[in-house]
Amino acid sequence: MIEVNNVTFRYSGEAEEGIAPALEEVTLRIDEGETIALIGHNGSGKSTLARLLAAIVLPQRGSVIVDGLRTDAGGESLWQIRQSVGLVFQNPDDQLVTNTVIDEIAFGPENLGLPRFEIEERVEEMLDLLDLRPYARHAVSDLSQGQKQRLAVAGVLAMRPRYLILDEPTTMIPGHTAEQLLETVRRLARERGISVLHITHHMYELADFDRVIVMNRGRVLLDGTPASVLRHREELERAGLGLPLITQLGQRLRARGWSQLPEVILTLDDLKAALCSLK
Amino acid sequence: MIEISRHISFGQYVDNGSRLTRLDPRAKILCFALAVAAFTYISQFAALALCLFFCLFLQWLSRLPLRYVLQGMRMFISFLVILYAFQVLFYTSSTQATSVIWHWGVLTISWEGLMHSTQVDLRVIFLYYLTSLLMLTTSLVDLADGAEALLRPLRRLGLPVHELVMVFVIALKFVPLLITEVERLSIAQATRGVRFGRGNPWQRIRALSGIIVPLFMSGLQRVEMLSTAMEARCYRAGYRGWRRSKLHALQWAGADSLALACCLLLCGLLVALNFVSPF
Amino acid sequence: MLFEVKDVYYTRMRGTPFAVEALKGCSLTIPEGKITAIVGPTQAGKSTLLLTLLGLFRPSRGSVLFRGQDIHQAPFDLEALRLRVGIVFQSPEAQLFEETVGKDVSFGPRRKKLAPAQSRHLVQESLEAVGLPYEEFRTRYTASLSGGQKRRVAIAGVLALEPEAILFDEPTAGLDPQGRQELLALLQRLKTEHQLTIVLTSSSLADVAMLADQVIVLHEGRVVLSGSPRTVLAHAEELLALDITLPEITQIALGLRSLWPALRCDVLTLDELEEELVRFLPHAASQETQLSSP
Repeated sequence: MIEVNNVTFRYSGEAEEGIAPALEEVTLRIDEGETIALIGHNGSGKSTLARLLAAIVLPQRGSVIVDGLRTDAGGESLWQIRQSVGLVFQNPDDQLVTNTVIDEIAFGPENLGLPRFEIEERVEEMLDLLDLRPYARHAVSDLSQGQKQRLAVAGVLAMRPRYLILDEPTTMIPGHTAEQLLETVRRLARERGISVLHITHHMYELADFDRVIVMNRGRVLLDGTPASVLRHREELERAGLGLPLITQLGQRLRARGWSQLPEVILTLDDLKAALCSLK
Repeated sequence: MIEISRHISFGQYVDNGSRLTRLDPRAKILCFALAVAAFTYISQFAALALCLFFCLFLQWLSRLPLRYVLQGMRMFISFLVILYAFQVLFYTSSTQATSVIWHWGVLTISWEGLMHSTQVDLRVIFLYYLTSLLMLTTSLVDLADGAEALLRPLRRLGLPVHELVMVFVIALKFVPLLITEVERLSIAQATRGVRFGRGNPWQRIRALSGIIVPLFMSGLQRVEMLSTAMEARCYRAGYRGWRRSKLHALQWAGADSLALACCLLLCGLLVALNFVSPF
Repeated sequence: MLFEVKDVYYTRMRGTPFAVEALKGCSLTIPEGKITAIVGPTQAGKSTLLLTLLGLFRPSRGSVLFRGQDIHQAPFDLEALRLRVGIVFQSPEAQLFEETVGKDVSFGPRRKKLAPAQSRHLVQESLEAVGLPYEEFRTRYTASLSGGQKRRVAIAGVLALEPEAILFDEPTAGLDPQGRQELLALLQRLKTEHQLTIVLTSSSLADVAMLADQVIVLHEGRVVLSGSPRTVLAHAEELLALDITLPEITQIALGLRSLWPALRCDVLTLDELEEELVRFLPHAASQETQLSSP
């Protein structure tokens, strides 16, 4: 479990310029095995929250506690936290350290000082899980953006984290490559009980997550299941977020008289099922 | 200036499974060091001819297209040609030059000057060839592992061998990225009216600064992001008591001993030839 | 026609083990005063095509015509072409190199040795065209701008060269939805208010379906489809197979086809899809009562 208690965070230099803090009095809890979509406008504090959870930056007020360890406790616990909270960056070019696919996957486990057979086992596992086997011996610079992003995920998962944070991993890759990546990540999360926190600004990506957190100006605006969050249309619009098109379509049809349709339709399958019942 | 990456092979690795790529990196580095020492020592044309044969043999072993390797050396060689002209014109031997061919003011072309400069340049070309061949046939990680294994004894003297090698690997990782960036920037500049390689020296420097400034800025940003990414994956350089493990075990095989023996033999031969040869 | 590309072949990194055939018999035309979108998956040859249009790459076969003239034939002045046709590269924000916005935008005019007053006027016009007020931004440091603002400054820098056409390589890559919308609106304005010909590349039809007058779909260095966005979207299934991202609305329409195979999928807006869907749905009970009640 990760607990964020009343956290306020400000980047250095912003206090003097009178800029509001990046995060203000944020409190939330992430349980084991949950998949969460974190959505918000640019500057809403999403990425800052990700960095706080991964203990890359420390809160100035309040605390972040990962499985009972405070991120600002220092010493060995810092490295334990970083092992259990894996962070995937927006741009894989910023994250990939080594030159070949295999070495990149091995980098994290090597840092943990694992024995060689264990590293080999994890590399093999990740090559299969993220469909990287055909590129195993390739140079990282020869991969496409989508392949690089899968490799970045593989490199983080090879450390066997309990929490996986994806910081807008889908902005740099084409649409359905992004979908496939998310699908893989969610499947792994289910199979291994890893919690996933996926940061995004695409409303249509929310539907397949257990829980949605909406952030606005450094605060948590909404927190709940996708369906319950999407009922707050006005609040979402004030935060600069529109409803997903599929939800809008359902609501338009409802307004035109097909009142049996549910108020919030999340996925294409839901829409199809609802329309079938009208037939 | 367009497609610069086509003309620079430095830092590229071609995994074609040749005998040279399969050698243990330690053997390759040792042979390389031996050959560099021997090539630097020799000063006779007969020995240089042997060097040429040696290089041709390596070229055959590497199974790389000769044109590709030479193309990579083109920029370097044009630079050498200019250097050669200077060397010849300003050659002053310790003994009086006996066979002056042409003389004007401080400029002299003498037989000795020509001979000496030719030898120096041939040596430099052979050394450059060896270096680029080592890079083309060895992946960076292998190179780093090999160097680290060979330098390990220096750790006793308190030298941070692993960290130094890591810095080297990361610097080299940026080479292909930098080349593509230079390529992009120079095209972008060309389309905004910059003409490279024209005008007076001041204008040329101005044209280059337009490339170097953004290159430097993005380089700095990248390094900062990458060090964060490495720490997020538990890379704890400089922490006492941290031990990293390794995926790859270096394996010394019969072929490696053979290569080293051949190299030793060749170096002995070169030195002997240099000693007895009259020219 | 501004550009005509006739059966062009080009190999990148020719003569190296990394050689890639980027264009393989590519033929297309780019009309003047319109927005042309070149859409294709990564590695389809989109960027290579843009650089070939400007004569930065010389095709190994085939020809590129600018207003009917072969750009690689003797009397044609390639450098003059590059002043008439500007290009904005992918992530242009990484290519700003002067300290201040004003200096960076005036870089082109200064190269052309324009009089200071004229150059100043151009910089002002260009900055305002991209939505950055001149007085406010002229002296700002480029390093202090946000990503989206930097991208606009880079575009202003090209506008200041007074081109007749601008080529954009993946102009929306890496932007958030709002930034994307703003940039697409800017392109539309450049076309209508400044009568510019615009060519842009994208790996997604989502960005360009509402914007482009003509869409050209590129796959493995060849044109596989072309026409208005609607004509191209009618081939939605083929586009998906080519790894091209479709507009969200098309994806929904395509999904609903499993219920009604005759449903059109060349819809561009939510309104259109709604009307299309209503044709297929059985009449709603409450709808009839609503109609009879007033």
